[in-house]
Amino acid sequence: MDTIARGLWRGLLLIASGEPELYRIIWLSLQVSGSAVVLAALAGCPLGAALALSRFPGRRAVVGLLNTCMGLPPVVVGLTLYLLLSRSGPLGALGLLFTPAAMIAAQALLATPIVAALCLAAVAEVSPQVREAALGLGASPLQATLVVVREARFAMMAAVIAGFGRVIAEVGAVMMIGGNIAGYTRVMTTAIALDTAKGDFELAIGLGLVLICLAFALNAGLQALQGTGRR
Amino acid sequence: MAARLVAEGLGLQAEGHWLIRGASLAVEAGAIHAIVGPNGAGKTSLLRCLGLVVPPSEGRVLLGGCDAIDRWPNCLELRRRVSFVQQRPALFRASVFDNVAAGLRFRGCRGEDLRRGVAEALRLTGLADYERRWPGSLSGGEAQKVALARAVATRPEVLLLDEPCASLDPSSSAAIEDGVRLLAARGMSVILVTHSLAQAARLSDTLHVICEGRLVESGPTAEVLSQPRQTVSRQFIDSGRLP
Repeated sequence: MDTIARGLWRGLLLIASGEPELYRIIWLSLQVSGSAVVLAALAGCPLGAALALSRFPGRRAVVGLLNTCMGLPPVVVGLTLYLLLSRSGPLGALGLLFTPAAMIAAQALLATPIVAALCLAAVAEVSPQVREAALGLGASPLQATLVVVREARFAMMAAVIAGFGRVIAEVGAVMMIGGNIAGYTRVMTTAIALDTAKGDFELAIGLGLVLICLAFALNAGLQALQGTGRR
Repeated sequence: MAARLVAEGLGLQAEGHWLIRGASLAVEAGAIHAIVGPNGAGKTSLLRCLGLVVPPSEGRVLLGGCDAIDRWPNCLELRRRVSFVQQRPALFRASVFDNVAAGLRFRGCRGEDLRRGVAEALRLTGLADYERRWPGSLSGGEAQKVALARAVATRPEVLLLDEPCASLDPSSSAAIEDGVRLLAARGMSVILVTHSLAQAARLSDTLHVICEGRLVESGPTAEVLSQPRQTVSRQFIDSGRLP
């Protein structure tokens, strides 16, 4: 108990003191997860919306696959990317292994199915009456489709935030792909894992507190969006 | 006078079942037509076909003599001459201003023209102070008025109203009816579906009775209400009369 209290206090002091290493790790985490979620949104939002609005043979299978990929194990993604990016792998020549770029790719792969599946649900939930209302007002089929997607915008933004929440807290894939190199690929989750293993709880608790604050901020953002969507 | 909107032998099929069949009518400029009939008779399906929101399974819809069904789905220009107000106002998640502006924006209207068009439609429907409100803060009646305002804003040649006063109090209904008369006086053709024979009598020049997907009787409203020729329409009209 004493260890926890002392670690918590020192963690708070570390945050307040503006310790450069701590803030470098936080900044890199935000950069990596932020970039990953932007890529996931660019791929996942149109994919989810298109799946919600289209009907084609095999659609159910594609949707099922997407839903399955929502629970993609990070270590499997990490392993797959490791094999692809390692020196002897097919993409080894790119020299991306143990770089932030590879970490972004891993997190984007994890976040895309989440963003896409949640966007699919968001667009599918829009009442068919909305499309009909738009057509009744003289919308072209494309304009009517855009109206439907626009109706789902708050839920789609929530999907992107959920994707960010998933990857910022992810440790397995970035550990395998990034290598947890100090000052280069060390992010909050990998730093916490390493410091805990070393018994150095101050930095781990400080970063843990930042992660929890981020989770609160994301949750507040989600609730605000949901509130706006219900207006 | 040449009819502005003509429907010939309209039929709409869904899952092997005919929702409407053989429906024909002609609406002149400035005329108000009412469609009455029991629940499930096909009133809304007929209106959706007339509004070119769904393609009919058979028959033709002509606007100003041009066949929209022949050109389907490339009939956007014809479709934009008609506005359709649904029974349940499916307002967009946006401010009242943006809802009313939607139809104008679909037509490429921007800037001052857009603001003027929205303001005029809101004034006409008694919603001048509602521009910044959102659908969640509106009552059912107010939402219905916004739906009417956004249809009117596009200045359609033909306005299709599916039970426009279903969720309105008597004074709001009277305001909507006044608005409909004003629009018709300006030359807009109006086709409204209503459950109220009294409203049909107050508003419309021509009355259509629809039963089991077929227009069983059409004619001047006063005549159809006082001397229905068909047994089914007589039964329906008699059942709707106050004792």
